[in-house]
Amino acid sequence: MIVRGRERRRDLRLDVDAAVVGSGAGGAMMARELSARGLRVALLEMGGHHRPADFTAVEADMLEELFQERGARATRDLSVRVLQGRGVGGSTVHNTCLCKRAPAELLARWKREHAVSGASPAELDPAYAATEQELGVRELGPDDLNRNNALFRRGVEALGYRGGFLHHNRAGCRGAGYCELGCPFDAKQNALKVLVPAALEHGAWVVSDARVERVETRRGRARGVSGSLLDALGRPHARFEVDARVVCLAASAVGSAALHARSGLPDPSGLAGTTLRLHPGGVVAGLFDEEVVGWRGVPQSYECTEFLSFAEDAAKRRVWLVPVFAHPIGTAVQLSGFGAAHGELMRRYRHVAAVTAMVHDTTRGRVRVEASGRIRIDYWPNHDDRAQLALGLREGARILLAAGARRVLVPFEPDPLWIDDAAGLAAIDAAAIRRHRLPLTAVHPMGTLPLGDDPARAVVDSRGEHHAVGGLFVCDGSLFPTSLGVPPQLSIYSFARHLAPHVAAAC
Amino acid sequence: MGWTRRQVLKGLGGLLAAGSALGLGAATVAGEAAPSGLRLLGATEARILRAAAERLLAGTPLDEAALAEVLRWIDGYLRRQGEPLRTEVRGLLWGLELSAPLFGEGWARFSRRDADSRDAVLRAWSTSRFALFRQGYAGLKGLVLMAGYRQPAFLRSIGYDGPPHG
Repeated sequence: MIVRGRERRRDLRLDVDAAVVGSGAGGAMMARELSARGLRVALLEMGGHHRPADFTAVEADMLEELFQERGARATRDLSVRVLQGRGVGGSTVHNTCLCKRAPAELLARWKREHAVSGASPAELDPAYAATEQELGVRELGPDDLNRNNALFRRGVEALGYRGGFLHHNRAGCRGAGYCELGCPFDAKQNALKVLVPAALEHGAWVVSDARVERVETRRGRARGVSGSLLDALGRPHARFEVDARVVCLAASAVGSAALHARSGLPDPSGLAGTTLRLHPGGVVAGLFDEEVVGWRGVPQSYECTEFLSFAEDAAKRRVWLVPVFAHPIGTAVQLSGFGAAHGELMRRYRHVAAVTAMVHDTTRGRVRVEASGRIRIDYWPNHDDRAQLALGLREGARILLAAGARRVLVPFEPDPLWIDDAAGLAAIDAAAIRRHRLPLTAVHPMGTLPLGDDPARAVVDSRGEHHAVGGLFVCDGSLFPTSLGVPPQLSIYSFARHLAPHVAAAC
Repeated sequence: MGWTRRQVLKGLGGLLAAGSALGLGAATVAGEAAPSGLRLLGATEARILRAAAERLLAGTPLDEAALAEVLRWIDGYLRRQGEPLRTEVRGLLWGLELSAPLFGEGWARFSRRDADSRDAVLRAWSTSRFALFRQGYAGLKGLVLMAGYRQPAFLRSIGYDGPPHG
C-alpha cells in the first residue's frame, strides 16, 4: 500500500511487525526482505515517492526534490558539502550506480579491532552475490566510457598506474548522463525500481513524506515510531504513529544518528553520532583543447586504485581516484572566485575533464541536533587525511596532464591554482587544504552507529541490534565501524540483506 | 579556528543590531519598496542581495530580467527552507551591508558602493582570517550561483545542452 503523505491530510496510525525508517539501499532491502518473509512492514520515507517521469533532469529542481535540505546540506561551517538523498529510494536515486564490495582486508580489521563477528568475506558473500544478481551489477567496458572517463583512463595508463573498469547497477542505459539528477529513463536498478515495488508486492506499507521524529520505547525495547506527514513544501500537516515489534534505522549515517539523538536513546558506549566518516573528496579539473562535454554518457566508469590500499602497511595510500563531472550549478559552486574571472572559467565548461580524490578517512566527525531541531554536522579532515587529499589531488592532476590537458586547475578560493606541468604539482600539499579555501564534497557518510560485539566500543551488535534498546536495529551505512574507502551502496544493500534474518527473528 | 553556527548568528546578529541602532531599520528602509514578486525579503535586503548578485554573476548573461529572476528564486528558496536558515541568510545580508569598515574598506554600505569596491568587500570576506566571513561568502556565492545557473540563458552561454527532454 502506497501512502503519499503530501496528499494525506488526516493522521495515520499503523500496527506492524517492523517499522523501517528510511527507504534507501538499507531500508528498502530490509523492507523487502522482511515483507517477503510474511511480516507486516511499514517503510517510512521523509521525501517524496517519485516516478521516472518526475525526474526532469533540471538540476535546480532535482537538487531541491531529491537531496536533503534541498541540496544545501553541509557541515556547520559550510566547509564540506554533504549530498544525501531524500525521497523513496534515498541516495540510490541520484548516485552514479557504483558497486564495489567492502575490501577483505577491511573486514578482517573490523573483526580484529572492532569485535565484528559474522561479517567475513565468506560470510557476506551470499548477500553480496544475491544483491549483485538482483540489481544486475556488471563490469563496464570500453564501450561505456564517455570522453571524461576515456581521458582519465588514457592518463592512468600513460603513467602505468593501477586502474580498471567499475561495476554498475544499470540496465538499458542510454548514456544520457543525468544519473545524478535521477534517471528519466528508469535504467537504474536501484532501491526505488527494484526493491520498493517488491516490498509493495509482499504487502508492505510505503509511506512517503513521513518524517520520523522519535523512536518510541517501553521498558528498554523499541515499540514503534512517530512523526509528521509533510506537505509538498516539507511543512508538517498531519501526524502519524506506527506501533511495531521492531524498528530498523536506515535514514543514513546522518539521519539515523540524528534520530537516535532526538529520541534520547541510551548510549552506553558514548559513540552514537561521534564517529562520522564522510569519505570526503576534492576535485581537480583539466582544460583540454578538444571538447570533452563531460556531462554526457555514463559517469564514473573507470577508477584508479594506485593510491588506495587496505593492507596493514598502507596507511599512506588511502585515496581513491575516479573521474567526476557536475552539471552547471554543481560546477559553478565548486569553481574559484566570482564575477568575470569565474564566468570565464564557466565558458570553458565543454572543454573540462575532472577527477575527484576521495579519502578513506580516519577523521571522526559528529552528528548532533540543535535546539531548533536542525541537524548539525561537524567535520573537518585531520592532518593525515588532508595529506591524503593533497596526494590524491596531485595525482589526479598528474593523470590529467598525462592525458593531454593543457592546464590543470585546483579550485582554491579566491583564486585558482593553475598547474601547467609536473613541476607545479608540489604546490598542492596538506597545508594548502584549509577550511573554505578548497571546496570539499561528501557523498558517502558512514559510521555513526557502529557495529561490534563489545558494548563499550559499539552502538549495535554484529546482528545490527542496539546494545541497550531491544528490538532496535540499524541497517544503513551508520553500521560501518570505519570508512569503507569505496562507494558504500552495495555494502549497505548487502549488509541489510545479511542482517535481515536476525531482524525477522526478533519480530 | 572555526566559529560555531551560534557564534555566526550572534556575530551577524550583532551587526544587524548595530545597523538598527544606527537607524537603518530591520528589513526595509522607510520609503523603499520591495521588488514585486518577493514575499520574504524586504526592500533593503533585496537591494543588498541584488548588489551582491550583480558582482558575483558579472561576466555572465546577467541582464535586468535575469537579475530579477535571481532575486525571485532566492526569495522562494528561502521560503521553502526552515526558519534557522532564513534568519541566517538575512543576517548574512545585513552583515555584508555593514561589514566594510572591518576590512578597512571605508564606511559606505555595500549596496551603495561601485562595482570595484563591492568586489573588494566580497574578496575580503573570501580571504578573511575569520571563518565567519569565509563561511558567509561561501553560502552567499552558492545561493546566487544556484539562482543564476538554473536559467536557460546561463546554460546556453556555457554550451550546456541539458536537460535531455523538455
